[in-house]
Amino acid sequence: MRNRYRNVAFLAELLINILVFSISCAILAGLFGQAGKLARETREKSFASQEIYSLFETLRARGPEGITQAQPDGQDGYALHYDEQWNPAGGENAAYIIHLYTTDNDTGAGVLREVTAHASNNQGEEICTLTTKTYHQGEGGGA
Amino acid sequence: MRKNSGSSGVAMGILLPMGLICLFAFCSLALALMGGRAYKSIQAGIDDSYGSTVAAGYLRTKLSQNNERGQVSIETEGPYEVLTIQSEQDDRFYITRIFVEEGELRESYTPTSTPFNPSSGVTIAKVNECRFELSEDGLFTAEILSENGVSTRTAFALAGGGGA
Repeated sequence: MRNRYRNVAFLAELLINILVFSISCAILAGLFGQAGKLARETREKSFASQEIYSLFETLRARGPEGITQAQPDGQDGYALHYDEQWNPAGGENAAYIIHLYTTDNDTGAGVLREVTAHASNNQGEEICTLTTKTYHQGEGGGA
Repeated sequence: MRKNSGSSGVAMGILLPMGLICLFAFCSLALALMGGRAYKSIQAGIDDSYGSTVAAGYLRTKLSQNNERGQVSIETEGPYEVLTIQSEQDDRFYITRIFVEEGELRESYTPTSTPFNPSSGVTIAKVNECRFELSEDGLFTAEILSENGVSTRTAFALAGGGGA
């Protein structure tokens, strides 16, 4: 009888330990998953902002015509496609897309060009959106 | 009857705890592996972009600090492609040379008369390769290849078209 009681007690203790461990496992697995996701998002944001910054500078130097790989996106903007490594890619293989929207406001003495860049992955999840404004003196008359 | 209860006692007393301990060990191993994989992927992400991101940020900062007409140019010194930035300080002329040597992006800041010496530069970041381009409209572009082969591009619109 005593032996049996000891066995049951041992099993109960083991089960409680495993229960505690399982709960810890579930929490830690979730945390690891979250850490991986955050790392991926950080990398995406870093590359996207780098690329958008370069596009803004190209626009500043050459205007919208200067971005040769841009294609009209059918929504008054341009779309640029990139692969997993953020190298320019065809639309079908694209892992990331940057949409560029430019608005020219005639100020009389020049044009204030507002550019918004919207980066997203191929699932449509937003990575980041950045906006810049550049003033082009003596370009009155709109875009 | 007695024999049966004895064998089920063995199962309960030995096999079940052993099974549970094995399950516990397996879960521990799986968790450790999952943690290792998460850490590895985070580290790989950082390593992938670190050198090239630092180099791109550095180049942009350097150019925006010296963004005046004719100050920036790209020169070829033997096998090296060198980004040069001219500056003046206390009526003396200096030249900043940025180039890649032995897998490192380096910068040297010397008086203009000092000849180019690749070993004298200060290390900025570890990169495999860095290709500079300066077009006539003043757009400076650099393509930086990190140690892990990840390429990062950066561009900067220079005032007055640079000095190429």
